[in-house]
Parts: sequence; structure tokens; C-alpha cells
Amino acid sequence: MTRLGLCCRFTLFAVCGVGWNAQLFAVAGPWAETEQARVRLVSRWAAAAPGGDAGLGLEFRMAPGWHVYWLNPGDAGYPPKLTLSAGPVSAPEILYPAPQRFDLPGGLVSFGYADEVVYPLAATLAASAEVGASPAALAAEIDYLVCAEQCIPYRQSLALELPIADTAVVDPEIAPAVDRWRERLPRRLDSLAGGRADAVLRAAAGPELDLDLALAATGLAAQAPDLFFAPHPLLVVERPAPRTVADAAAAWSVHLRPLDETQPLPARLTLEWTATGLALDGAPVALAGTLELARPSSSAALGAPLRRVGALIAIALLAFLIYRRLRAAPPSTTA
Amino acid sequence: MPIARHVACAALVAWVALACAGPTLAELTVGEPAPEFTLRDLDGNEVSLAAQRGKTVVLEWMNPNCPFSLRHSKQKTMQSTADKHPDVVWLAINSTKPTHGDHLEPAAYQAFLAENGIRYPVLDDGAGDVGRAYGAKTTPHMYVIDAAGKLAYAGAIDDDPRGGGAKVNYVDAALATLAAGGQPAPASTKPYGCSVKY
Repeated sequence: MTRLGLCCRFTLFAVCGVGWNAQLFAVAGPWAETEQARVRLVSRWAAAAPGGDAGLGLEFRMAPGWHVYWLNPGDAGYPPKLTLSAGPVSAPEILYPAPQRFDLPGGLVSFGYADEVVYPLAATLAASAEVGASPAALAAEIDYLVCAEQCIPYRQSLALELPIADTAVVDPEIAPAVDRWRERLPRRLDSLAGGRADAVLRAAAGPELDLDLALAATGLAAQAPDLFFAPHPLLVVERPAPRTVADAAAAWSVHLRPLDETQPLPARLTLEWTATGLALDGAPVALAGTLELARPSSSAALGAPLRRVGALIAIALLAFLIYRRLRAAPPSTTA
Repeated sequence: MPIARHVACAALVAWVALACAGPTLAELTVGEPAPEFTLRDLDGNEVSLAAQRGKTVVLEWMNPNCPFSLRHSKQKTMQSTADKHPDVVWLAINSTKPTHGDHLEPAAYQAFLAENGIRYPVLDDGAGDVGRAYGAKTTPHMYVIDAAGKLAYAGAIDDDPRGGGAKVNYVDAALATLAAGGQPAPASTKPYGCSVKY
């Protein structure tokens, strides 16, 4: 179905006579509203093509102060869960744009999105979807948590009427919003020219570990870099501490603890990271990658606490030496 | 030598700051002694952890205005688990700061407990000190302390953050394992719920 064909479907509304009215053609489901947030399904297509990307997005708009969650919610919360209940599309997979960090009282932290977010959905329109018939009726259940100082879980039903055409037609109203959030999806660092993640896993106290990560790529620079990790079944990942590394756009040290200290960690650990607040050739970019790391041998297990004590003694000694030296030094030249 | 003294002082301050720097919340390790505390219940009676020595103790971080705490209260998750293990001392701790919107006065709290058939004591930790000592992050956040006063389990009540139906009640499993003389596995899970309102 062409744009004209689509338009004619709406002649009942006597709109075509006076021109294209994007509002009428917006492929967006009704808002499911609550006091804290409203959510709907949208598509970047005014008409989607069978066998192609369905162009779907899950759009949230939050009341001021409320947020929804990234893939890893942080200390509390959970990301939305979308379950397709009807419609000729593949099971939509929620994709996660670059998150924001929320510091909560008590040193707790959450990762997510405030104000608004369109989670892009990876879903394909069935090749068998009929062109020219009535729009595909999509229905889904959304299970999400919205939090501010308080948290409220919701389960709601969403629907979307998705027109079908031989060739996909962009929806001029919805596409920019979906595309804006698609652009915020992290790009794989290893797909960039000169993309390199230098990672070293060091033994710390007991079974704990320290990860040093440095990111570099041609044209990559830091703006306000931050680092996030996908949930790990065995590790507690503490807040990354930024550090400066020559030739790296951004670098951090990250303390890792076993979630269950009574269980030994496997010899190899896989960590999925996402870095935000970066710029590639001047344009904001989020990057992601996977680290496959060998757990350092536990020979350092005893050494690490000793090193920590040693460092404190060294600092104390240094402070004492400075103090003595300054006391012994001749009075400063000030009168 | 005022300058020298200032520098020395600054160095010492830096050392102390380095030595003392750490996360706001403590990180407890399973197998180590659980932090001692004495708090008051809703009737004003003092309850101390030390007084429970010899018994297994469950600590549940609770906030009736948190939907996760509320769901487990309505579904009787905690009370029914406590009922399955009558020899266990079950204590709820509320670390909601008194100025937070979620704070409940004792009478309102008592009414909530009565309405939901909750018979175990709720201890007031409005200052948040005990919560921080345990590193309690969420309501609920569960801790199981063995008869010797050592931490045996820390984390979620079950594997069901979204309330779709739990497959494993970790606390129930930990209590059964302890009663049989074993060590709970998993000994730690990631807690879920609302953030504790420190």
C-alpha cells in the first residue's frame, strides 16, 4: 500500500482533501495511563512491510521525578517486561538505550530513564502478513515498575493497529522519536575503527576482584563518561571509579565481589559493559562490549588485604616523614 | 611553623580519610557474625539480637508503603514462612526515616499488621543505623542468622520480583537447611523491592 493508498483509507475523515494530516496517521496505540506514567506501543512506520522490521517502540512518559529501568535496574527495581499476546509479529525484544544513573538515599543506585523513553523493540512483521487487508492488530501485556521516592508496579494491556504495505512507509510523526532513541542504543566498540577495550582483572581481598577497563577508538572522546554493567548472576559490581589512562578516551577501575561468597567463582568470567557520555567524532555515542576474562589465581587472595594494610602504613609513614621534614626545615621566608 | 603544621595536618587528614573511606552501606559476608543491635518494637519494648542467641533469627526489612512489602504482606509470604518454622525468631525492621512519606506512626503500623495477620514484631530503625550496618538495600531484604549469631543467608525472599508466582522461597529453604544442620545454598541472592527509605 502506498502513502496515497493509506491516505485514501482515511477519506472517511475528509482529511485527504485538505492535505496530509500526520496526526491521524500516527501509528501509536492508546496510552495506558497511571498517575505516575503513561505507556503505549508505537511504530516508526505508517505502514510496515511483510517480512521486514515492524519499527516498534515502547514509549513511556513519566511524571516529574519518576523513572523506569534499564536492563540492569541497579540496587532495586526491574526493567519492563513486554509479552505479545496477539498480532503477526515476532516476539518483541526490548532494546535498551544508554541509561542514566539515579543516586538514591543511603548510597543506593538505580539505572534507567526519567521524563521519557522510547525503548526500541526488535520485532519482525510476519512475511505472511496480508497487504491491503485491515491493519495488523497487535496486543501485548506490559509489566513494569515506576519509581521515584516510591515504587509502583503496574501491569497493563497495550494495543497497536499497524497498517501493512508492500513497501514500508515512514510515519513522519512517530519515526523521529523512535529513531532518536534508536540512536541512543549502544554501538559495539569492536565495530569502530581502532575500537579497543583494554581490560585487566586483578585479585583483591579474599575472593574479590578489581577490573581495570580502558576504552579507545579513532575519534572517540569523553564528555561525561559513565560505565554500566548488565546484571551478572555471580558478581556484585560496585560503582566504577574513573581514572586517567594515556591514549584511552575513558577508563575506570571497578570493584567486583562474588554475590555468594560461599560459592567459588568460575575460572572465566563474562562481563557485558555499556559506556555512556562519550563522543565519536564529536557526536554523542554510547558503546558496549563483552569482556571474557580469566579469573586471576587465588595466590593473591592473602596478599591483597596485606597490600591494603601496607598501603595505609606507607601513607601514614609518608605523612609522618613530611611532618618531620617540615618541622626540621628552617622557618619559611615569610616574616 | 604554621605552614608546616598545616601540611602535616592535611596529610594526616588525607590518611584518615583514606582509611575511613568506604561505601555508605556495609557489606556483610555470610559466615561472619551478624551486627548486634537493640531496637524498640512498636510497643516500645527493647529487642536485641544478642538476646536471641541459640535460636535462628530471620530479619525482614519492611515498609508497608512499598508495593513489594505490601504484596508479600497480603500474600502472607513472610508470615506463612515464619509459621513453617516455629522455632525461628522472625523480626521485621523498618528503616524508613521518620520524615519520609512512607513513614507510619505505631498505631497505623499496628493496624496494618493486624489487617494482614502479621504476628511477628516490627522494630523501628528510623535512624537507619541497623539498616546501614546490615547493608539493607530493599524492602524486603532478608537475612538469616544462625543460632551462633553468624549470618547464614542474605538476599531476596524468593525468585519472584514481579509477583508472577515464586518457584523458590530462599528463606524457607535456608531455614530448612539450617534446621537439618547444613549450610544454605545459595547463601546470598540479589534482593529485590523498593529501595530502603534512608
